[in-house]
Amino acid sequence: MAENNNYDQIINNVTTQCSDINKRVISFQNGSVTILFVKQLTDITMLSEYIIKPIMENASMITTFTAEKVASKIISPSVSILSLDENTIVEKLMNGMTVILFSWESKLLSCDIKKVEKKDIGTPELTYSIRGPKDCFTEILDVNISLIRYRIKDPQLKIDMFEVGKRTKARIAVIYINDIVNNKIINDIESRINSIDTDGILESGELQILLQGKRGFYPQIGLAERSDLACGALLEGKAVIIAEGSGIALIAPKTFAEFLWSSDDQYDNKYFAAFMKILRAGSLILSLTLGSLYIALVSFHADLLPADYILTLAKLRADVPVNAFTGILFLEILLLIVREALLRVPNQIGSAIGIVGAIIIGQAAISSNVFDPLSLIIVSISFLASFAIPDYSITTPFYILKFMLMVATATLGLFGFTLGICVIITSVVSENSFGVPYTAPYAPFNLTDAAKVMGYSKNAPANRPDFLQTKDNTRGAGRK
Amino acid sequence: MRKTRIGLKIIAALLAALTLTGCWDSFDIEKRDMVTAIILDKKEDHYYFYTEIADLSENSAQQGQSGDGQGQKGGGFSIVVAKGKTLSDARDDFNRKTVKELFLGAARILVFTDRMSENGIEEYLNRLRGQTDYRKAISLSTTSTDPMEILNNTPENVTSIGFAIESDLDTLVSDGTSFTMNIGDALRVLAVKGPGFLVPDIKIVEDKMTLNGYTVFNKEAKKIGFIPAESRKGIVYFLNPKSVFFYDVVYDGKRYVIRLRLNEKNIKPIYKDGKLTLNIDADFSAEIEFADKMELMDDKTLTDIKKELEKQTRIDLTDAVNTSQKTFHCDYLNIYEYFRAAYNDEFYKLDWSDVYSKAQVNIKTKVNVNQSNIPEKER
Repeated sequence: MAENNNYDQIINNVTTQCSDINKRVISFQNGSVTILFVKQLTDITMLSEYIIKPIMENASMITTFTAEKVASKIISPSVSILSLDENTIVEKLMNGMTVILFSWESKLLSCDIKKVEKKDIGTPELTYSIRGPKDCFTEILDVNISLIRYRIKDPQLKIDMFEVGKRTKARIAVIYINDIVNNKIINDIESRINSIDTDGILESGELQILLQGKRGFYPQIGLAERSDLACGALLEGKAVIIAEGSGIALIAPKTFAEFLWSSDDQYDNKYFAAFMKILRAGSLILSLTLGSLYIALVSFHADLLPADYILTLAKLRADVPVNAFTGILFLEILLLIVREALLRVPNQIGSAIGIVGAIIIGQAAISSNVFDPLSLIIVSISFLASFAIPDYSITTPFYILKFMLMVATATLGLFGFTLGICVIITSVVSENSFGVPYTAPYAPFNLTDAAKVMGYSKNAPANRPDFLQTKDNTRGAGRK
Repeated sequence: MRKTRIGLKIIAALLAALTLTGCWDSFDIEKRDMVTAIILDKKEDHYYFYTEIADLSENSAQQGQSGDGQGQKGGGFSIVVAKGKTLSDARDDFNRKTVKELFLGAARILVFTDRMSENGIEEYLNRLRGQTDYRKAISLSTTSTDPMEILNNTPENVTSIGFAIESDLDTLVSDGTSFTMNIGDALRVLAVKGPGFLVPDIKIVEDKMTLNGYTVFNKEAKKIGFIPAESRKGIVYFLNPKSVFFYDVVYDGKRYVIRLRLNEKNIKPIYKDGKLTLNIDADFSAEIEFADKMELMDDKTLTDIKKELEKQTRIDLTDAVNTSQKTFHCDYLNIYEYFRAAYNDEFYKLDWSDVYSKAQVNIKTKVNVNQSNIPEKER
């Protein structure tokens, strides 16, 4: 049997490096076994039941066993045998593993009896669905993978694991269905993950930013809080990226039009779903342009309105001291402040903030002629319209664009408005999401794809859209 | 280097936008005086602008009219009167009397007094051609009533006289019993230099705004006559493609009230050897609206009533054409459009008024009588 000369020194070094590493020494006549673990990351019951207790029961002969034999005969949990190295021990301990060292052996055992405090599988808060499943991802990667495995029992479902962050060493899972997905997309995603050089990521949002690159004004990656959404994306030939410690999975690629789709579209009447898709697109346009159009009409081109409206509008604004641009800008900022405040305050006083906001804006501001009522209606409709978009990540750049468009319109009238819209359209069309044109299938236009995505239904014998360039583009013919 | 170039491009684009467009001079609508009606008069060598301006202040509705007839008329509108030796002087006086910058985009009606119409309105219409803030869709009207009486008339349910006159005229058009003429139409006719045009004439009768008839303007936009509203049927058939009129027919001792709708009208000009022949075909559909006794007509009655209606409509159309040819020597029925479409080169070479006045006119009418209004059991 090999004698382990560095045994004591290594244990000493490891325990002094990190104060939260616990040590349990079990001594025998001919040697000792040292168990190292981080108490907060270890299931203590499993440790005593499946590691300490079996070792003590075999005290008489354990010193004659090799590490391999201890692993196969004595220790129950899954074990990997590693060579004795100080850095390896620390790395394993930091990952929540329990390390067993033998005074007579130059190898060590690393046991997985991790236990991390976690919340139960909850209901969605980000992507609420009327009819769809309600089970959400949690912060535990393995639980999230199990939720996907539970829904897709296909052996072609592949999970590629990565480790990101020099210090956090967060595990990242790239999940895809191998015989559907376009390999170029997976290679692109994985090469981007491999090229990440950061000290750590704590949430999938950080990973999203790193994957999108430095410009990344428009989101190129979708969010999936619910496992059914993630599975739906996988079936469409997309990749799902899950980061350890985050309850929100990422979906790539994702086109602009897809941000306007709701999971309910899959479960609803397809004609209603198509109508709702158009309505959501209209809401986004309304949210972006309504304030600017009001400024253009009131301050520059009143004669575009019918005469009756001009008079009504002018009478509404007769005693308002601020011009249309200032009024709209102020109200937009005020509403954003109310929104921000409502996000931060506890639920119990959230409604109170809403009432105060409504009274201040709705009653006091109008009755004191600070703003005209139509400005408030315009801003409120614009604000509400922004919430009709199922994926909130697409609305955030449009908040900024809305203000830019208002400034352009207030400076140059409808010319500025048109100029701003052209810049926005150009910037959106120029984007791509992991090689897929961002505005597909509308630009570049593909009538078949447009019809497919607009009238999607499980019962329609439709193929997957061509723009994803999947290996297998047949979804199935629905009910025969 | 590349960043500098991009920056320069952005600055150049912004500078171009700022200098090449006039959009940056914003002006909020509440800071303007909104004109809703304009009456143009000429008396004692002076042009007069009578205007109705919307008063945007909250308490304007309670204010009444001031003693000199100028100022607050109440109901949210005020009256401004301006005068000058020329149209430019009158406009200058008008600008001086108004508090804010004028906004003409809300104007609904432009009325010319008889005096102004007789003097000629071409100069003023040509001024409007160059004014971009004037809507070319503003309806034109003439009147023999005193402008102040019109502006101070309080119409039912409408506070602005501009809106009231426009609404009156538009209602008649949608009913199919009249037509309108707007600035754009008048400018289009004047540009052709040949035909004339008709402008609806309004009058206040027993405190009510009424369509009095039509003022005939010649190719120089001068008033040359007047056609009373009672004689308008044939004219309206020419100028409103959706004309509808009621005819009373007495047959076999029974009175039938029949609603006649113009379905189609074809005017075919034939110009040969310096002579113009106009073949006019009009197709009508008729519906029995009321009768002494609502009963199904037999074939003979139906045929006779049909013939009677064809005769009456032919007379109406013939009267309309004869009046324009013989009385006014002026094509205000827009027949020139059909001729120009067929003989474009000839149209610009000849004197249209002369050719039109001497044209031989053949009118055919066809009426299809419908008995669907007769109760079911009678059928």
